[in-house]
Amino acid sequence: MDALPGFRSGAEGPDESNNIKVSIELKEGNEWRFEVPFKLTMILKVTQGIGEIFGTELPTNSELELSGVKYSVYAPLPEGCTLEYYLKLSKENSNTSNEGSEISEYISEDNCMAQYMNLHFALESKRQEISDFNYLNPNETKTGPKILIIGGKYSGKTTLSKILSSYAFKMDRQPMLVNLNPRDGVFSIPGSLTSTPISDNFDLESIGGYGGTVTSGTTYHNPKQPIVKNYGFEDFNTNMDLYKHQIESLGAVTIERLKKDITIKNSGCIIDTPPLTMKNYDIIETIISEFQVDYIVVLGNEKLLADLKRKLNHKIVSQQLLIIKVPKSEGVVELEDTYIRKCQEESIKEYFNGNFRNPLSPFKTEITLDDFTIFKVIETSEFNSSLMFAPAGDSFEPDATDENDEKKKEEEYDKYFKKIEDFSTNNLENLIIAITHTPLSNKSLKDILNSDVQGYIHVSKFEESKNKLKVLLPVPGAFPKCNLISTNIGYTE
Amino acid sequence: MEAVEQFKKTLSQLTFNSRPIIDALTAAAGSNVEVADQILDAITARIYQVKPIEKLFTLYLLDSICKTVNNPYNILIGDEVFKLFSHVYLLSDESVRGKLSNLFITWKQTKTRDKLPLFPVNQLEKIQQFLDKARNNENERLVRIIDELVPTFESKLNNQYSDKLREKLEALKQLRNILKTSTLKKNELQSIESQLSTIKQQELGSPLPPNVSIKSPTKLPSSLPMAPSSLPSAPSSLPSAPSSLPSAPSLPNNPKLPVVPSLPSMPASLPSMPSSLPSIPHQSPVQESMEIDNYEPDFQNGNNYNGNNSNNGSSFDAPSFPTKANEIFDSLINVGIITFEQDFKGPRTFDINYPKVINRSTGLMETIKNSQVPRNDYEKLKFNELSKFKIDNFQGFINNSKLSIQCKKLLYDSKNLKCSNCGKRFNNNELDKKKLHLDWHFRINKKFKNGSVQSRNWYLDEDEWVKFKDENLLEFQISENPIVSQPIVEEEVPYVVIPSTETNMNNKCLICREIVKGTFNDDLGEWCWVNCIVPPGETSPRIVHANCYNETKKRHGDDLNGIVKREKLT
Ligand SMILES: [Zn+2]
Ligand SMILES: [Zn+2]
Repeated sequence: MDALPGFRSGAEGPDESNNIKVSIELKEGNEWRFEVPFKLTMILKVTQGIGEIFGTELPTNSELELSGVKYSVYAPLPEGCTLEYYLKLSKENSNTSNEGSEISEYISEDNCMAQYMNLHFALESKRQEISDFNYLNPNETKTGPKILIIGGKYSGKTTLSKILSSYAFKMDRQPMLVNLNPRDGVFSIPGSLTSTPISDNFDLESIGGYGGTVTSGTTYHNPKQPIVKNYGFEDFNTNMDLYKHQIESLGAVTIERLKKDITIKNSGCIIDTPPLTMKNYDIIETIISEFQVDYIVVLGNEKLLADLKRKLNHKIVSQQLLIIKVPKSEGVVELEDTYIRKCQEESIKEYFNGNFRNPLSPFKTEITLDDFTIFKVIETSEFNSSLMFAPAGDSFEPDATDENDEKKKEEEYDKYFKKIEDFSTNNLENLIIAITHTPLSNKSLKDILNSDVQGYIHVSKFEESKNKLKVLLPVPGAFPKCNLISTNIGYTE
Repeated sequence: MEAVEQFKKTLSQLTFNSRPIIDALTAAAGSNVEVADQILDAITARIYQVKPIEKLFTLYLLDSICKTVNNPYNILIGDEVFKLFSHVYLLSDESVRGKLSNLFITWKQTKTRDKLPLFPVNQLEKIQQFLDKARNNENERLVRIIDELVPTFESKLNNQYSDKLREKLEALKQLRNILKTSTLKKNELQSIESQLSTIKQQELGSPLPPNVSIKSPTKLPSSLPMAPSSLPSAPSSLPSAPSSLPSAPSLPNNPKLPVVPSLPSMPASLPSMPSSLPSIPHQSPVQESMEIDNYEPDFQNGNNYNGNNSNNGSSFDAPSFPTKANEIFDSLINVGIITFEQDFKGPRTFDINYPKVINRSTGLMETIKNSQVPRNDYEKLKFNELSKFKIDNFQGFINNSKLSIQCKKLLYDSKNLKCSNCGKRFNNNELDKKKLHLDWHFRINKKFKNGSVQSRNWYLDEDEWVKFKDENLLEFQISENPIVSQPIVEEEVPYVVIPSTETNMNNKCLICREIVKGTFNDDLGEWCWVNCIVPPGETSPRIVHANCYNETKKRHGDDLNGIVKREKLT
């Protein structure tokens, strides 16, 4: 391999001649599961037959570079699939500690891919019916299946949503992939909730296996165009009110897009979620109503399935909703926290610096705090404790003045986020800040909170004496004069 | 001269379909062949001048003369038949058009006594093409009938909701879609038309304008002429427009209008009967006695004085269709053209069925299944495979279904053009698309090789995103039209112009010490070191890669001078 652009300096490449090529043969229906630590890069290619990773078909005799992944290659057809790989040290990640330095891999003959494919074809059948109907009834169009994927931790929800999206794309659909798990950045960074039409293959080499967006400059694969809502925490439990609010806000804009775009409308939505349980039933209910969900796919959890069927019986009986179960794949590995953390870091790094295929150059700049309004998402626990200290007199006899009404309105938003008044006590260093699309002149808390994200900046330093923030800006040119919301997502360069 | 004058005089009486007059004139033409040109002039002049229905009778005369006398009439008029025929056709209503079509069929089949075609073949072909085109417009015409019916249904529904009515309305809309998207055979169109006229009568009571209905609500609709074919422009002296459909009663705007009770078993109005022109009120005393003795063009050569009333091939089959509106829908449902959508609650809607159901199909369904939705080859394949599924039980299908290999292949080999770079698949007939795709890979790779420095762009805002179309992102667009709605902001590729004093085109990056070769830039007309910059504090020809500079700067902050200096020392 030639040195890749942007990475030629420094790191001494491993001696390629020492790399042993390993060949893997898969029979029809077999799945080869493997994990590559960040330290290593696996150079993988299909030499014969057809193989796919989570529904994305691999090119034949063309190398993929995979690092820090837990993937599996599936051989869907009778001709099977022959793979070949070798390993080398990753150039940038050699210093990562407490991570295994070997890959793990095995072939599984027992997997759920057949059921997942059946699920796809059943859904595609529905899509066909709906798109034919829509063609014949252009004035009263229906929407393709809106599928909510629910399951416990490590049940393979993300894998299934990738498979369903990829297959749909391969059959000339353009499904809307909705990510409601703020832990993963899907076409964005962690802490965000996104909706993205899948109009091309995923990019398996990128962090998370999704790929670039229009905002990534020229990309190796066709980019995608997401809409990004800011939640600001990686755990959906941290502020459920805010989480729910942003689901509603993402749902509204997503449904709008479906109305305008018949290709997507025919294809429907695929909604990936964090591990929701019956304790989060109100969240599930919110998703169902905001995204007009008509299919729930429960991954290998009989209890959850039964509970949901009971709770949602009225919708099932009235045939507005179908609840289906599919087995959870045995191949889904439990992700260690360190691995998740590393993926999050890599995803943020990719946002600012690009990846080995297309490096990006962010810009360092300074912003004067007096020129900006910065909000900060708030943890529910923090909000609750602040309530305890509220002056007692506040709650009774509110004057019916306009001013008070205004204040009350503003207070509604206290549970979501607050304006930062004192920067010395609100340390923003090493945090990611979302730039909203609301101009600074717009002071409406509602607009600011509901605004989708224009981009993210990273705070490298707070200079108290100058009242300035040193930030990393991903886009060249002037700093947008828009309201900012600090997330709780940390990152050190 | 006298013969011609006499001919013209009799000709002027041809204001109705009178076999005796046509026979007399044919005989006169036969015995006056020396003035054939003048006789033909008189006939063509009349065709162009009289009102539409009389044009037909005059054309019948021409038909009779040509078939009976042959030479010289058929030869002299030969090159004009298309013009005459299309003229009459365009100005006629539907019933007349049907007759014209039948007339034309006899022209195609009639041979002269010399076993030659009656009219020149090129003229006949022109007429054929003309008719083919005109028939496509038949669909449009029927769509218009439906469009006239729909608002009436809707207003009825508003006044008095009934599921049955609702279903009928939906079926009408489906029928409209079939018409919009399919090419139907003539007899199918005619069946639909006759059904529509039945619907119209039964659901709306009367095709008469509302004021008439209001004045005499008890008047039996059955006594009224039926729409649409049985309404030739009749006594009207106005030249009728191509379609002389009665305008739909404008009931919807008048909720107080009494609803005329529908007549369940009214015999279908038979727009069919090709030979029975509704009797046209006519003042001529001759008319009554002649009423049934109409001219009927036939296939025979020579003598056609003997009446021949048998229908020819393309006549209607209306009586075989149900006569009640409900039954029409039921029959559509029974034969599988239309099914209920039963998945969800709410108003029932109808779907048009897929080929699988239409095995015992008639020609109508045959046509529908092929043409209701346009599909490319891949989509047809997919449609066929998916149509084989029976997904009554979604969960059962997921658990137990064994997909056929053909079905699985829809995800793979059915699109057998696979990109060797990225694995993306293209339909077998999308060679051009694949080529664009490969060009795009080439461009992208070249760009990355050049190592141009890129930066991110902002995400779209809500309004832009809602309107965004992903087609603009794909490689097929980019080639001509680099993402209009969201231009990628890119740094210009940096370069250092090689000083004219410099004799060595090869230079070295001060940071990575890689050789940088000079390349000629067409736009600038200069030799350049591409992707390089002169770092701060240095002068050309001392250069660094822009990438190296940025990388180093990122790692060491602004303290770059030290790095470069140190590099210089080594
Ligand atoms: Zn490709
Ligand atoms: Zn260099």
